[in-house]
Amino acid sequence: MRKFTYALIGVVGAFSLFIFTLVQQFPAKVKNVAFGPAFFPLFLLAAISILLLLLLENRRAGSPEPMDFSDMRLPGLMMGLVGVAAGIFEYAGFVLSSFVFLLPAMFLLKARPKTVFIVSSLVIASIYVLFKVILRVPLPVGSLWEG
Amino acid sequence: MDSFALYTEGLPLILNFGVMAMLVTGVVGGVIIGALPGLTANMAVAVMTPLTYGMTAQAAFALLLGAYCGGVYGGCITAVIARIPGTPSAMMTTLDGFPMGQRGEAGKAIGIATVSSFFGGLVSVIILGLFAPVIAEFALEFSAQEYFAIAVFGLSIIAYISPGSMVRGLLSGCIGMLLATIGSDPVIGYPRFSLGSFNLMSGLELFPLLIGIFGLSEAFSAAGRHMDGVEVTRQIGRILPTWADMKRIFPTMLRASPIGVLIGAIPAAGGTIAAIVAYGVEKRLSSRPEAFGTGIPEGVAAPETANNASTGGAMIPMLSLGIPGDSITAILIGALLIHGLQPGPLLFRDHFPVVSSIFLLMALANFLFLGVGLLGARLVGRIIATPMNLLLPVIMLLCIVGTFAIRNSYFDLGILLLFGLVGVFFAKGNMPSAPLVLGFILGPIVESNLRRGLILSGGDFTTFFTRPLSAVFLALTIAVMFSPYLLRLARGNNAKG
Repeated sequence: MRKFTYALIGVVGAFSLFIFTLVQQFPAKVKNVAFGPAFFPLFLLAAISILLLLLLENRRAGSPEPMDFSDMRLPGLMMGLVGVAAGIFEYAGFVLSSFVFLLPAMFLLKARPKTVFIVSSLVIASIYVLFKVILRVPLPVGSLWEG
Repeated sequence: MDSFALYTEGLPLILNFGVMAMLVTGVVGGVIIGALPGLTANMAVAVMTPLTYGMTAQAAFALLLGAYCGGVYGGCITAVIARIPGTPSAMMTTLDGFPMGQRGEAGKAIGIATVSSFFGGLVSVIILGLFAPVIAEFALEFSAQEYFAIAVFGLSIIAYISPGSMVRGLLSGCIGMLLATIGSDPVIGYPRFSLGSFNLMSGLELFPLLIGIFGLSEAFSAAGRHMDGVEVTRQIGRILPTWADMKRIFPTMLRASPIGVLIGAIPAAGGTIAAIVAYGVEKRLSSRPEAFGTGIPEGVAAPETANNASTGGAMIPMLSLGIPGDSITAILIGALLIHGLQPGPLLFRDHFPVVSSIFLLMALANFLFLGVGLLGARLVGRIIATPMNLLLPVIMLLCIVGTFAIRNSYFDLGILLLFGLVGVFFAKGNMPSAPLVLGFILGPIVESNLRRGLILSGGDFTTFFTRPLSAVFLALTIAVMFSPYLLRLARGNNAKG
């Protein structure tokens, strides 16, 4: 957990620093209104800095085990697949990107091939009917097929 | 705003086939998702919300409130037949529910859990009807100082009760509030942190964030845990509780209901804490405290009554003040906003029939899960044996399609993935993600009221301490924030003494 604390402090600290540089560009007062747009972000950045210091101070109380990512292989692959599906959603359209996601995801989770194909087809058809036909929500056809 | 009208004015709005069909779908879907280990009521409501985009407000709330009540109830079925709480709030139910199941009384335990969940849920709706309009009317007199103090108090409670340390909870809440500052400044409309992106001009959208944290990240984490269906007790037996069982658990239900409502009404406290407290109180009051944990009806009835009673309790601050009572009511606030309704005291004044319909739908959802539980628990027991390797990818796909459906925005898909990753990163490092979401929702309330209060008082910070209600809530906030240090100090003194 201790390593995570350091990682967390690093990530949040860097993010806060980035926000701080952006806040510097805000005017202190707009339209003669005191406590302008920079006030609250600065207030939060101060609070975050104090909390990060407290976290650093408490780090000794944490258990000594390093961060364990051994069980993150499957979730990591799933994240990758979601990223691919989200990335190609616009170009490949709903049907193709859904297949591109569902088939490998179910295979990775060790589902049987026959079941994977049947369930994927049924799920994609059901989602299409639910969103497009019943709820009348437009789903992307895919710019690849639109010519 | 009289309480009787609260139960009648919304009736014409909900008495139609579409709304009733959505309520049944929500309850059944909620019970199933709530019963599936690793999938929570949060996820049920988050995943279903995008489906409501094209619906009327009543149909949308029928689906979501059904999923909320059904999801909180559904966790008890798995707690009894598989020793795994389907939802975190069913954690205490496993203590006595599973031993009853092992003795061949799984049906009896499910029946008791169902009836007590129904009782707790219904009592909470009645109390909601009595208190929410009064608080809303009182809140009409609130100024910026009171709203600021209540929102800050809510945030401190969230951080205090979050798993892990309070510092981590507060940090998560502050990050949520900082993310909420992206977009237009709420007081003068000055654009902040949009980095030249058109998509960020109006700020981060709530739903990709919610679905990412509560839907996608939970599915990612579950992918690392459950590959096969859950092993369940096959012999369920008679589910309908006997008259003798009912007489035995009635006093327990009477005691646990107000506990659940009260804890649910504290911003962010929620059903899990309600169940733990109710179980503890019941054990302390019992003449046979040693029997708790061995499989007794009171041990099932107390947590189940309390966690379902917390549903109505959590709706009190959400509807009357616009402050979420728990993670699910945070999602419901987003759903209200989608339908052009701003939760808070003005909702009661300007949209009274809608508020009334919400009360009625919640009451009906409780009746429906009573039926689903008593008649369909066996079927739900079979469904939870569904292999997760088929279910999880489907849930992830629903998260993608649902997020896209809200605004037809590809940018939102990126936000969804980002917060899915944030949720996993937080879970991995024992950093609570609920305060981030609640901070994101409370952030604009805190900022606008803090700045308005300061502008009105000419920059005088003491204005927040000179108004009685605001001072009380800020004093409570300080007490909550420093309580761990004060307790540590007191323990140290006791040890020395």
